[in-house]
Amino acid sequence: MAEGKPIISLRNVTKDFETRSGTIRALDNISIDIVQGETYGIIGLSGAGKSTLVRCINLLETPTEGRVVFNGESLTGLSRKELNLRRREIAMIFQQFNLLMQRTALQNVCFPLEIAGVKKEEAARRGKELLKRVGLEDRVDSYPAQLSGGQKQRVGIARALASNPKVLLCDEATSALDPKTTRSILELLKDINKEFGITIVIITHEMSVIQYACDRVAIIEAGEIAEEGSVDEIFTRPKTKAAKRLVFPDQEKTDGIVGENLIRLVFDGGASYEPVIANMVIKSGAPVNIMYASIQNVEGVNKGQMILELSNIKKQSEIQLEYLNEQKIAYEEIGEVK
Amino acid sequence: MTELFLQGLWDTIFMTLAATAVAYLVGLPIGVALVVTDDNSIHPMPLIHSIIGFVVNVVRSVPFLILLIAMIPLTRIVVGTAIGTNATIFVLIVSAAPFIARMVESSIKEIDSGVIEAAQSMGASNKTIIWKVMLSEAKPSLVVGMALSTITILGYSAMAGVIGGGGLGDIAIKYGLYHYKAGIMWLAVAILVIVVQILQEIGMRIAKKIDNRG
Repeated sequence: MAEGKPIISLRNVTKDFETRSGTIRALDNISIDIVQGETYGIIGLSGAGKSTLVRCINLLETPTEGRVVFNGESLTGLSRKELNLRRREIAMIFQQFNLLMQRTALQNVCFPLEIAGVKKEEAARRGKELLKRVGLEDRVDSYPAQLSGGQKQRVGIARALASNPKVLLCDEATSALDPKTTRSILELLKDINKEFGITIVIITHEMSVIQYACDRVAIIEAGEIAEEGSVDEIFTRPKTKAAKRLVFPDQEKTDGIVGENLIRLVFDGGASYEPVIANMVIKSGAPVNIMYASIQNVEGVNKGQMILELSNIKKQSEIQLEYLNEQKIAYEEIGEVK
Repeated sequence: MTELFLQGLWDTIFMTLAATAVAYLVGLPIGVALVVTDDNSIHPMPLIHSIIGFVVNVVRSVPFLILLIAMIPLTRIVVGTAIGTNATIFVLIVSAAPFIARMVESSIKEIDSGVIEAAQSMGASNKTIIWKVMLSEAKPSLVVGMALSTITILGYSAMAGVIGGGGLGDIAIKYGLYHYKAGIMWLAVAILVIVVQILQEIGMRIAKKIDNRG
Protein backbone atom coordinates (compact mmCIF):
# COMPACT_ATOMS: atom_id res chain seq x y z
CA MET A 1 0.00 0.00 0.00
CA ALA A 2 1.36 3.37 -0.94
CA GLU A 3 1.67 6.24 1.49
CA GLY A 4 -0.39 9.38 1.21
CA LYS A 5 -3.91 10.52 0.58
CA PRO A 6 -5.79 8.78 -2.20
CA ILE A 7 -7.15 11.15 -4.85
CA ILE A 8 -8.97 8.40 -6.72
CA SER A 9 -10.39 5.29 -5.16
CA LEU A 10 -12.21 2.59 -7.05
CA ARG A 11 -14.27 0.37 -4.79
CA ASN A 12 -15.48 -2.98 -6.12
CA VAL A 13 -15.96 -1.59 -9.59
CA THR A 14 -17.61 -4.01 -11.97
CA LYS A 15 -18.57 -3.26 -15.55
CA ASP A 16 -20.76 -5.47 -17.72
CA PHE A 17 -21.46 -4.91 -21.38
CA GLU A 18 -24.63 -6.29 -22.91
CA THR A 19 -24.00 -7.76 -26.33
CA ARG A 20 -26.09 -9.90 -28.63
CA SER A 21 -24.24 -13.00 -27.52
CA GLY A 22 -24.82 -12.24 -23.85
CA THR A 23 -23.28 -10.26 -21.03
CA ILE A 24 -19.54 -9.64 -21.09
CA ARG A 25 -17.82 -8.75 -17.85
CA ALA A 26 -15.14 -6.21 -18.78
CA LEU A 27 -14.17 -5.34 -15.21
CA ASP A 28 -14.59 -7.63 -12.26
CA ASN A 29 -14.66 -6.23 -8.75
CA ILE A 30 -11.75 -3.81 -9.06
CA SER A 31 -10.54 -1.83 -6.07
CA ILE A 32 -7.55 0.46 -6.35
CA ASP A 33 -6.29 3.59 -4.66
CA ILE A 34 -4.34 6.18 -6.59
CA VAL A 35 -2.37 8.48 -4.32
CA GLN A 36 -2.23 12.23 -4.78
CA GLY A 37 0.86 13.30 -6.72
CA GLU A 38 1.96 9.88 -7.89
CA THR A 39 2.27 8.48 -11.37
CA TYR A 40 0.20 5.34 -11.47
CA GLY A 41 0.39 2.85 -14.30
CA ILE A 42 -2.26 0.42 -15.42
CA ILE A 43 -0.89 -2.17 -17.81
CA GLY A 44 -2.51 -5.06 -19.60
CA LEU A 45 -2.73 -6.72 -22.96
CA SER A 46 -5.35 -5.50 -25.39
CA GLY A 47 -8.79 -6.59 -24.31
CA ALA A 48 -7.77 -6.83 -20.67
CA GLY A 49 -10.14 -4.01 -19.73
CA LYS A 50 -7.69 -1.19 -19.10
CA SER A 51 -9.44 1.31 -21.38
CA THR A 52 -12.76 0.55 -19.72
CA LEU A 53 -11.12 0.95 -16.33
CA VAL A 54 -9.74 4.40 -17.09
CA ARG A 55 -13.14 5.47 -18.49
CA CYS A 56 -14.75 4.41 -15.24
CA ILE A 57 -12.56 6.90 -13.39
CA ASN A 58 -14.19 9.92 -15.10
CA LEU A 59 -17.43 8.04 -15.67
CA LEU A 60 -17.26 8.07 -19.45
CA GLU A 61 -18.30 4.51 -18.67
CA THR A 62 -20.73 4.09 -15.81
CA PRO A 63 -19.76 1.13 -13.62
CA THR A 64 -22.43 -1.54 -13.37
CA GLU A 65 -21.55 -1.90 -9.71
CA GLY A 66 -19.16 -0.25 -7.29
CA ARG A 67 -18.09 3.26 -6.39
CA VAL A 68 -15.68 5.80 -7.81
CA VAL A 69 -14.40 8.27 -5.23
CA PHE A 70 -12.57 11.38 -6.37
CA ASN A 71 -10.95 13.68 -3.85
CA GLY A 72 -13.11 12.32 -1.06
CA GLU A 73 -16.39 12.61 -2.97
CA SER A 74 -18.30 9.82 -4.64
CA LEU A 75 -18.70 10.50 -8.39
CA THR A 76 -21.12 7.67 -8.95
CA GLY A 77 -24.54 9.07 -8.22
CA LEU A 78 -23.77 12.70 -9.03
CA SER A 79 -26.12 14.56 -11.37
CA ARG A 80 -24.89 15.15 -14.92
CA LYS A 81 -24.27 18.82 -14.13
CA GLU A 82 -22.25 18.12 -11.01
CA LEU A 83 -20.33 15.39 -12.81
CA ASN A 84 -19.42 17.79 -15.62
CA LEU A 85 -18.00 20.18 -13.03
CA ARG A 86 -15.86 17.41 -11.50
CA ARG A 87 -14.69 16.30 -14.92
CA ARG A 88 -12.90 19.63 -15.32
CA GLU A 89 -10.61 18.44 -12.53
CA ILE A 90 -9.91 15.10 -14.22
CA ALA A 91 -8.34 15.76 -17.61
CA MET A 92 -7.65 13.12 -20.20
CA ILE A 93 -5.36 12.57 -23.18
CA PHE A 94 -5.84 9.92 -25.83
CA GLN A 95 -4.03 7.56 -28.17
CA GLN A 96 -5.49 9.26 -31.25
CA PHE A 97 -5.12 12.71 -29.63
CA ASN A 98 -8.79 13.54 -30.38
CA LEU A 99 -8.15 17.15 -31.27
CA LEU A 100 -10.79 19.25 -32.98
CA MET A 101 -9.60 19.22 -36.58
CA GLN A 102 -11.28 22.50 -37.54
CA ARG A 103 -9.62 24.42 -34.73
CA THR A 104 -6.07 25.70 -34.39
CA ALA A 105 -3.75 24.45 -31.66
CA LEU A 106 -4.59 27.51 -29.58
CA GLN A 107 -8.34 27.15 -30.12
CA ASN A 108 -8.07 23.51 -29.09
CA VAL A 109 -6.29 24.42 -25.87
CA CYS A 110 -8.90 27.11 -25.19
CA PHE A 111 -11.81 24.69 -25.67
CA PRO A 112 -11.98 23.46 -22.05
CA LEU A 113 -11.78 27.08 -20.93
CA GLU A 114 -14.70 27.96 -23.22
CA ILE A 115 -16.65 25.15 -21.58
CA ALA A 116 -15.76 26.54 -18.17
CA GLY A 117 -16.94 30.00 -19.24
CA VAL A 118 -13.55 31.71 -19.05
CA LYS A 119 -13.35 35.06 -20.87
CA LYS A 120 -11.87 34.93 -24.37
CA GLU A 121 -8.80 37.11 -23.79
CA GLU A 122 -8.02 35.37 -20.53
CA ALA A 123 -8.39 31.96 -22.22
CA ALA A 124 -6.14 32.97 -25.12
CA ARG A 125 -3.50 34.22 -22.70
CA ARG A 126 -3.53 30.99 -20.72
CA GLY A 127 -3.65 28.89 -23.91
CA LYS A 128 -0.53 30.55 -25.27
CA GLU A 129 1.23 30.08 -21.98
CA LEU A 130 0.42 26.36 -21.97
CA LEU A 131 1.47 25.86 -25.59
CA LYS A 132 4.74 27.51 -24.67
CA ARG A 133 5.12 25.15 -21.74
CA VAL A 134 4.78 22.10 -24.02
CA GLY A 135 7.23 23.58 -26.53
CA LEU A 136 4.81 24.66 -29.24
CA GLU A 137 4.93 28.45 -28.97
CA ASP A 138 5.65 28.66 -32.71
CA ARG A 139 2.68 26.43 -33.70
CA VAL A 140 -0.08 28.36 -31.94
CA ASP A 141 -2.04 28.99 -35.15
CA SER A 142 -1.36 25.61 -36.79
CA TYR A 143 -4.21 23.18 -37.41
CA PRO A 144 -3.85 19.59 -36.15
CA ALA A 145 -3.48 18.35 -39.73
CA GLN A 146 -0.29 20.40 -39.98
CA LEU A 147 1.28 18.89 -36.86
CA SER A 148 3.22 15.67 -36.29
CA GLY A 149 1.94 12.97 -33.93
CA GLY A 150 4.19 14.13 -31.10
CA GLN A 151 3.12 17.74 -31.59
CA LYS A 152 -0.55 16.74 -31.60
CA GLN A 153 -0.09 14.96 -28.30
CA ARG A 154 1.64 18.05 -26.91
CA VAL A 155 -1.43 20.07 -27.89
CA GLY A 156 -3.52 17.36 -26.21
CA ILE A 157 -1.47 17.75 -23.03
CA ALA A 158 -1.70 21.55 -23.09
CA ARG A 159 -5.47 21.25 -23.59
CA ALA A 160 -5.71 18.82 -20.69
CA LEU A 161 -3.82 21.20 -18.42
CA ALA A 162 -5.95 24.20 -19.34
CA SER A 163 -8.60 23.61 -16.69
CA ASN A 164 -6.00 23.18 -13.90
CA PRO A 165 -6.91 19.53 -13.28
CA LYS A 166 -5.90 17.52 -10.23
CA VAL A 167 -5.60 14.32 -12.24
CA LEU A 168 -4.43 13.57 -15.77
CA LEU A 169 -5.61 10.30 -17.31
CA CYS A 170 -3.45 9.08 -20.20
CA ASP A 171 -5.16 6.45 -22.34
CA GLU A 172 -2.43 4.78 -24.43
CA ALA A 173 -1.16 8.31 -24.98
CA THR A 174 2.11 7.20 -26.56
CA SER A 175 0.96 4.08 -28.41
CA ALA A 176 0.62 5.85 -31.75
CA LEU A 177 4.06 7.43 -31.45
CA ASP A 178 7.56 6.22 -32.35
CA PRO A 179 9.95 5.32 -29.50
CA LYS A 180 11.84 8.61 -29.51
CA THR A 181 8.68 10.72 -29.47
CA THR A 182 7.25 8.41 -26.81
CA ARG A 183 10.27 9.17 -24.69
CA SER A 184 9.89 12.92 -25.07
CA ILE A 185 6.16 12.81 -24.27
CA LEU A 186 6.80 10.70 -21.16
CA GLU A 187 9.52 13.17 -20.18
CA LEU A 188 6.99 15.98 -20.48
CA LEU A 189 4.44 14.06 -18.39
CA LYS A 190 7.03 13.47 -15.68
CA ASP A 191 7.92 17.17 -15.63
CA ILE A 192 4.26 18.13 -15.41
CA ASN A 193 3.78 15.70 -12.55
CA LYS A 194 6.60 17.37 -10.64
CA GLU A 195 5.90 20.94 -11.63
CA PHE A 196 2.15 21.06 -11.06
CA GLY A 197 1.80 18.17 -8.62
CA ILE A 198 -0.81 16.61 -10.90
CA THR A 199 -1.56 12.96 -10.28
CA ILE A 200 -1.00 11.03 -13.50
CA VAL A 201 -2.65 7.75 -14.45
CA ILE A 202 -1.02 6.01 -17.40
CA ILE A 203 -2.79 3.25 -19.30
CA THR A 204 -0.52 1.28 -21.60
CA HIS A 205 0.34 -2.14 -22.97
CA GLU A 206 4.04 -1.29 -23.03
CA MET A 207 6.15 -2.25 -20.04
CA SER A 208 8.83 0.27 -21.05
CA VAL A 209 6.35 3.13 -20.59
CA ILE A 210 5.54 1.96 -17.07
CA GLN A 211 9.18 1.43 -16.24
CA TYR A 212 10.14 4.84 -17.52
CA ALA A 213 7.37 6.97 -16.08
CA CYS A 214 5.49 5.31 -13.24
CA ASP A 215 5.90 5.01 -9.50
CA ARG A 216 3.35 2.26 -9.02
CA VAL A 217 1.63 -0.12 -11.36
CA ALA A 218 -1.40 -2.36 -11.48
CA ILE A 219 -1.45 -5.28 -13.87
CA ILE A 220 -4.86 -5.99 -15.27
CA GLU A 221 -5.79 -9.26 -16.88
CA ALA A 222 -9.23 -10.45 -17.96
CA GLY A 223 -10.89 -7.59 -16.13
CA GLU A 224 -9.19 -8.22 -12.81
CA ILE A 225 -6.19 -6.69 -11.07
CA ALA A 226 -3.65 -9.50 -11.11
CA GLU A 227 -0.92 -7.68 -9.24
CA GLU A 228 -0.25 -4.22 -7.86
CA GLY A 229 2.87 -2.68 -6.41
CA SER A 230 5.83 -0.40 -6.91
CA VAL A 231 7.32 -0.54 -10.39
CA ASP A 232 10.74 -1.60 -9.09
CA GLU A 233 9.16 -4.43 -7.13
CA ILE A 234 7.17 -5.80 -10.01
CA PHE A 235 10.06 -5.49 -12.42
CA THR A 236 12.53 -7.35 -10.35
CA ARG A 237 10.16 -9.86 -8.78
CA PRO A 238 6.95 -10.35 -10.71
CA LYS A 239 4.83 -12.76 -8.70
CA THR A 240 1.85 -13.63 -10.85
CA LYS A 241 1.79 -15.26 -14.26
CA ALA A 242 0.21 -12.15 -15.74
CA ALA A 243 3.06 -10.00 -14.47
CA LYS A 244 5.71 -12.43 -15.69
CA ARG A 245 4.14 -12.51 -19.12
CA LEU A 246 4.42 -8.74 -19.34
CA VAL A 247 7.92 -8.44 -17.92
CA PHE A 248 9.31 -11.44 -19.81
CA PRO A 249 7.51 -11.80 -23.12
CA ASP A 250 8.23 -14.58 -25.65
CA GLN A 251 9.15 -17.01 -22.94
CA GLU A 252 8.26 -20.12 -24.92
CA LYS A 253 11.13 -19.51 -27.38
CA THR A 254 13.70 -20.19 -24.71
CA ASP A 255 11.98 -23.01 -22.88
CA GLY A 256 14.70 -25.51 -23.88
CA ILE A 257 17.51 -23.56 -22.22
CA VAL A 258 18.06 -24.90 -18.72
CA GLY A 259 20.99 -25.08 -16.36
CA GLU A 260 22.57 -23.49 -13.37
CA ASN A 261 23.40 -19.83 -12.96
CA LEU A 262 21.10 -18.80 -15.76
CA ILE A 263 19.27 -15.49 -15.78
CA ARG A 264 16.91 -13.96 -18.30
CA LEU A 265 17.33 -10.28 -19.10
CA VAL A 266 14.73 -8.15 -20.79
CA PHE A 267 15.59 -5.06 -22.78
CA ASP A 268 12.47 -3.07 -23.42
CA GLY A 269 13.88 0.29 -24.28
CA GLY A 270 13.83 1.35 -20.66
CA ALA A 271 17.54 0.65 -20.16
CA SER A 272 20.18 3.26 -20.87
CA TYR A 273 22.47 3.24 -23.86
CA GLU A 274 25.32 1.74 -21.85
CA PRO A 275 26.98 -1.47 -23.04
CA VAL A 276 25.37 -3.53 -20.31
CA ILE A 277 27.03 -6.91 -20.75
CA ALA A 278 30.52 -5.48 -21.22
CA ASN A 279 30.20 -3.29 -18.13
CA MET A 280 28.93 -6.25 -16.14
CA VAL A 281 31.98 -8.26 -17.07
CA ILE A 282 34.38 -5.42 -16.34
CA LYS A 283 32.79 -4.66 -12.97
CA SER A 284 32.79 -8.22 -11.77
CA GLY A 285 36.06 -9.20 -13.39
CA ALA A 286 34.43 -12.43 -14.50
CA PRO A 287 33.03 -13.51 -17.87
CA VAL A 288 29.42 -14.32 -18.62
CA ASN A 289 28.24 -16.75 -21.24
CA ILE A 290 25.53 -15.63 -23.65
CA MET A 291 23.20 -18.62 -24.09
CA TYR A 292 20.50 -16.86 -26.07
CA ALA A 293 20.05 -13.39 -27.42
CA SER A 294 17.40 -11.75 -29.48
CA ILE A 295 17.73 -7.98 -29.56
CA GLN A 296 16.33 -5.67 -32.13
CA ASN A 297 17.08 -2.04 -32.52
CA VAL A 298 13.77 -0.35 -33.09
CA GLU A 299 14.34 3.28 -34.00
CA GLY A 300 17.27 3.70 -31.66
CA VAL A 301 15.84 1.69 -28.79
CA ASN A 302 16.97 -1.82 -27.92
CA LYS A 303 14.22 -4.37 -27.43
CA GLY A 304 14.48 -8.06 -26.79
CA GLN A 305 15.79 -10.58 -24.33
CA MET A 306 18.93 -12.46 -23.47
CA ILE A 307 19.81 -15.49 -21.40
CA LEU A 308 23.13 -15.32 -19.63
CA GLU A 309 25.12 -17.85 -17.69
CA LEU A 310 26.68 -15.95 -14.82
CA SER A 311 29.96 -16.62 -13.15
CA ASN A 312 29.85 -19.74 -10.97
CA ILE A 313 31.75 -17.95 -8.23
CA LYS A 314 29.16 -16.52 -5.86
CA LYS A 315 30.98 -13.26 -5.13
CA GLN A 316 31.24 -12.48 -8.83
CA SER A 317 27.68 -13.44 -9.71
CA GLU A 318 26.47 -11.25 -6.87
CA ILE A 319 28.30 -8.25 -8.33
CA GLN A 320 26.84 -9.06 -11.72
CA LEU A 321 23.27 -9.14 -10.42
CA GLU A 322 23.84 -6.02 -8.41
CA TYR A 323 24.91 -4.22 -11.56
CA LEU A 324 21.68 -5.22 -13.28
CA ASN A 325 19.69 -3.91 -10.33
CA GLU A 326 21.56 -0.62 -10.52
CA GLN A 327 20.75 -0.32 -14.22
CA LYS A 328 17.12 -1.22 -13.50
CA ILE A 329 17.17 -4.04 -16.02
CA ALA A 330 14.53 -6.66 -15.38
CA TYR A 331 15.85 -10.17 -14.90
CA GLU A 332 14.67 -13.46 -13.56
CA GLU A 333 16.67 -16.42 -12.41
CA ILE A 334 15.96 -19.46 -14.52
CA GLY A 335 18.47 -21.86 -13.06
CA GLU A 336 19.56 -21.59 -9.45
CA VAL A 337 22.23 -18.90 -9.05
CA LYS A 338 24.91 -20.21 -6.72
CA MET B 1 -39.00 35.46 -74.84
CA THR B 2 -36.00 36.73 -72.84
CA GLU B 3 -38.41 38.06 -70.28
CA LEU B 4 -40.09 34.66 -70.06
CA PHE B 5 -36.78 32.96 -69.36
CA LEU B 6 -35.62 35.61 -66.90
CA GLN B 7 -38.88 35.22 -65.00
CA GLY B 8 -38.50 31.41 -65.12
CA LEU B 9 -34.91 31.56 -63.91
CA TRP B 10 -35.87 33.90 -61.09
CA ASP B 11 -38.80 31.67 -60.06
CA THR B 12 -36.57 28.59 -60.07
CA ILE B 13 -33.86 30.26 -58.02
CA PHE B 14 -36.37 31.77 -55.60
CA MET B 15 -38.21 28.47 -55.11
CA THR B 16 -34.99 26.54 -54.70
CA LEU B 17 -33.35 28.90 -52.24
CA ALA B 18 -36.46 29.57 -50.19
CA ALA B 19 -37.33 25.88 -49.99
CA THR B 20 -33.73 24.93 -49.15
CA ALA B 21 -33.52 27.54 -46.40
CA VAL B 22 -36.75 26.50 -44.70
CA ALA B 23 -36.08 22.79 -45.28
CA TYR B 24 -32.78 23.22 -43.44
CA LEU B 25 -34.51 24.92 -40.54
CA VAL B 26 -36.63 21.79 -40.25
CA GLY B 27 -34.19 19.11 -41.43
CA LEU B 28 -31.08 20.17 -39.55
CA PRO B 29 -32.56 19.76 -36.05
CA ILE B 30 -34.10 16.44 -37.11
CA GLY B 31 -30.69 15.28 -38.38
CA VAL B 32 -29.05 16.32 -35.10
CA ALA B 33 -31.80 14.54 -33.18
CA LEU B 34 -31.19 11.37 -35.20
CA VAL B 35 -27.52 11.47 -34.20
CA VAL B 36 -27.81 12.30 -30.52
CA THR B 37 -30.63 9.86 -29.76
CA ASP B 38 -28.77 6.95 -31.35
CA ASP B 39 -27.32 4.12 -29.24
CA ASN B 40 -23.89 5.01 -27.81
CA SER B 41 -24.36 8.66 -28.69
CA ILE B 42 -24.57 11.51 -26.21
CA HIS B 43 -28.26 11.12 -25.36
CA PRO B 44 -29.56 7.67 -26.34
CA MET B 45 -33.35 7.51 -26.70
CA PRO B 46 -34.10 4.34 -28.65
CA LEU B 47 -37.85 4.88 -29.00
CA ILE B 48 -37.63 8.51 -30.17
CA HIS B 49 -34.79 7.52 -32.50
CA SER B 50 -36.86 4.78 -34.14
CA ILE B 51 -39.93 7.00 -34.51
CA ILE B 52 -38.01 9.86 -36.15
CA GLY B 53 -36.16 7.40 -38.37
CA PHE B 54 -39.41 5.77 -39.44
CA VAL B 55 -41.16 9.05 -40.31
CA VAL B 56 -38.11 10.26 -42.23
CA ASN B 57 -37.99 7.03 -44.22
CA VAL B 58 -41.70 7.10 -45.02
CA VAL B 59 -41.62 10.64 -46.41
CA ARG B 60 -38.44 9.87 -48.32
CA SER B 61 -39.96 6.80 -49.96
CA VAL B 62 -42.77 8.79 -51.58
CA PRO B 63 -41.69 10.00 -55.04
CA PHE B 64 -41.82 13.78 -55.28
CA LEU B 65 -44.30 13.80 -58.14
CA ILE B 66 -46.76 11.72 -56.11
CA LEU B 67 -46.21 13.83 -53.01
CA LEU B 68 -46.90 16.91 -55.09
CA ILE B 69 -50.32 15.60 -56.06
CA ALA B 70 -51.18 13.74 -52.86
CA MET B 71 -50.48 16.83 -50.79
CA ILE B 72 -52.82 19.11 -52.74
CA PRO B 73 -55.50 19.20 -49.99
CA LEU B 74 -52.92 19.91 -47.27
CA THR B 75 -51.16 22.47 -49.42
CA ARG B 76 -54.47 24.24 -49.99
CA ILE B 77 -55.01 24.47 -46.21
CA VAL B 78 -51.50 25.66 -45.40
CA VAL B 79 -50.67 27.92 -48.35
CA GLY B 80 -54.18 28.83 -49.43
CA THR B 81 -53.68 27.55 -52.97
CA ALA B 82 -52.42 24.32 -54.51
CA ILE B 83 -50.83 25.85 -57.61
CA GLY B 84 -48.03 28.28 -58.23
CA THR B 85 -44.65 29.02 -56.75
CA ASN B 86 -45.63 29.23 -53.08
CA ALA B 87 -47.51 25.93 -53.19
CA THR B 88 -44.47 24.32 -54.78
CA ILE B 89 -42.17 25.71 -52.10
CA PHE B 90 -44.32 24.13 -49.39
CA VAL B 91 -44.22 20.69 -51.00
CA LEU B 92 -40.49 21.05 -51.64
CA ILE B 93 -39.90 21.73 -47.94
CA VAL B 94 -41.90 18.68 -46.85
CA SER B 95 -40.11 16.51 -49.34
CA ALA B 96 -36.58 17.83 -48.78
CA ALA B 97 -36.51 18.11 -44.98
CA PRO B 98 -36.19 14.36 -44.36
CA PHE B 99 -33.57 14.12 -47.08
CA ILE B 100 -31.63 16.93 -45.43
CA ALA B 101 -32.02 15.26 -42.03
CA ARG B 102 -30.27 12.14 -43.36
CA MET B 103 -27.54 14.23 -45.01
CA VAL B 104 -26.90 16.09 -41.75
CA GLU B 105 -26.91 12.82 -39.85
CA SER B 106 -24.28 11.26 -42.08
CA SER B 107 -22.12 14.42 -42.02
CA ILE B 108 -22.08 14.45 -38.22
CA LYS B 109 -21.41 10.74 -38.05
CA GLU B 110 -18.19 11.27 -40.00
CA ILE B 111 -16.70 12.92 -36.92
CA ASP B 112 -14.38 10.67 -34.97
CA SER B 113 -16.26 9.52 -31.86
CA GLY B 114 -13.03 10.07 -29.91
CA VAL B 115 -13.36 13.82 -30.35
CA ILE B 116 -16.83 13.74 -28.84
CA GLU B 117 -15.53 11.57 -26.02
CA ALA B 118 -12.75 14.10 -25.43
CA ALA B 119 -15.31 16.89 -25.11
CA GLN B 120 -17.30 14.78 -22.65
CA SER B 121 -14.16 14.16 -20.63
CA MET B 122 -13.75 17.95 -20.35
CA GLY B 123 -17.20 18.24 -18.85
CA ALA B 124 -18.89 19.69 -21.93
CA SER B 125 -22.70 19.73 -21.85
CA ASN B 126 -24.61 18.06 -24.66
CA LYS B 127 -25.56 21.50 -25.99
CA THR B 128 -21.90 22.47 -26.21
CA ILE B 129 -21.05 19.18 -27.89
CA ILE B 130 -23.78 19.66 -30.50
CA TRP B 131 -22.78 23.23 -31.35
CA LYS B 132 -19.05 23.31 -30.82
CA VAL B 133 -18.05 19.77 -31.71
CA MET B 134 -20.64 18.13 -33.95
CA LEU B 135 -21.80 21.06 -36.08
CA SER B 136 -18.44 22.89 -36.08
CA GLU B 137 -16.36 19.87 -36.96
CA ALA B 138 -18.82 18.69 -39.61
CA LYS B 139 -19.04 22.12 -41.27
CA PRO B 140 -17.19 21.29 -44.52
CA SER B 141 -19.19 18.11 -44.97
CA LEU B 142 -22.42 19.97 -44.13
CA VAL B 143 -21.65 22.53 -46.84
CA VAL B 144 -21.08 19.79 -49.43
CA GLY B 145 -24.38 18.27 -48.30
CA MET B 146 -26.06 21.64 -48.64
CA ALA B 147 -24.89 21.99 -52.25
CA LEU B 148 -26.22 18.52 -52.97
CA SER B 149 -29.55 19.26 -51.25
CA THR B 150 -29.94 22.54 -53.11
CA ILE B 151 -29.37 20.79 -56.44
CA THR B 152 -31.83 18.04 -55.55
CA ILE B 153 -34.43 20.66 -54.59
CA LEU B 154 -33.74 22.49 -57.86
CA GLY B 155 -34.43 19.24 -59.72
CA TYR B 156 -37.66 18.70 -57.79
CA SER B 157 -38.75 22.29 -58.40
CA ALA B 158 -38.56 21.64 -62.14
CA MET B 159 -41.11 18.86 -61.72
CA ALA B 160 -43.49 21.34 -60.15
CA GLY B 161 -44.29 22.51 -63.66
CA VAL B 162 -46.86 19.75 -63.57
CA ILE B 163 -48.96 21.75 -61.11
CA GLY B 164 -48.11 25.01 -62.81
CA GLY B 165 -45.49 25.70 -60.19
CA GLY B 166 -43.57 28.24 -62.23
CA GLY B 167 -39.89 28.30 -63.04
CA LEU B 168 -37.78 26.79 -65.77
CA GLY B 169 -39.31 23.34 -65.37
CA ASP B 170 -42.73 24.86 -65.89
CA ILE B 171 -41.54 26.51 -69.11
CA ALA B 172 -39.99 23.27 -70.35
CA ILE B 173 -43.16 21.30 -69.72
CA LYS B 174 -45.54 23.98 -71.02
CA TYR B 175 -43.69 24.68 -74.26
CA GLY B 176 -42.04 21.33 -74.82
CA LEU B 177 -44.77 18.94 -73.81
CA TYR B 178 -47.98 20.83 -74.53
CA HIS B 179 -46.89 23.03 -77.49
CA TYR B 180 -44.29 20.77 -79.10
CA LYS B 181 -41.68 23.53 -79.02
CA ALA B 182 -38.64 21.36 -78.40
CA GLY B 183 -36.21 24.28 -78.84
CA ILE B 184 -37.62 26.17 -75.89
CA MET B 185 -37.65 23.02 -73.81
CA TRP B 186 -33.99 22.34 -74.48
CA LEU B 187 -33.06 25.93 -73.77
CA ALA B 188 -34.78 25.66 -70.37
CA VAL B 189 -32.91 22.42 -69.70
CA ALA B 190 -29.60 24.02 -70.70
CA ILE B 191 -30.15 26.87 -68.24
CA LEU B 192 -30.96 24.34 -65.51
CA VAL B 193 -27.71 22.51 -66.26
CA ILE B 194 -25.74 25.74 -65.94
CA VAL B 195 -27.43 26.63 -62.65
CA VAL B 196 -26.61 23.15 -61.27
CA GLN B 197 -22.98 23.51 -62.33
CA ILE B 198 -22.69 26.89 -60.64
CA LEU B 199 -24.30 25.66 -57.40
CA GLN B 200 -22.05 22.60 -57.29
CA GLU B 201 -18.94 24.66 -57.90
CA ILE B 202 -19.84 27.23 -55.25
CA GLY B 203 -20.54 24.46 -52.71
CA MET B 204 -17.27 22.65 -53.32
CA ARG B 205 -15.24 25.86 -53.20
CA ILE B 206 -16.74 26.99 -49.91
CA ALA B 207 -16.28 23.50 -48.41
CA LYS B 208 -12.64 23.43 -49.44
CA LYS B 209 -12.03 26.92 -48.16
CA ILE B 210 -13.44 26.30 -44.69
CA ASP B 211 -11.91 22.84 -44.25
CA ASN B 212 -8.76 22.93 -42.13
CA ARG B 213 -7.98 19.25 -42.33
CA GLY B 214 -5.96 19.30 -45.55
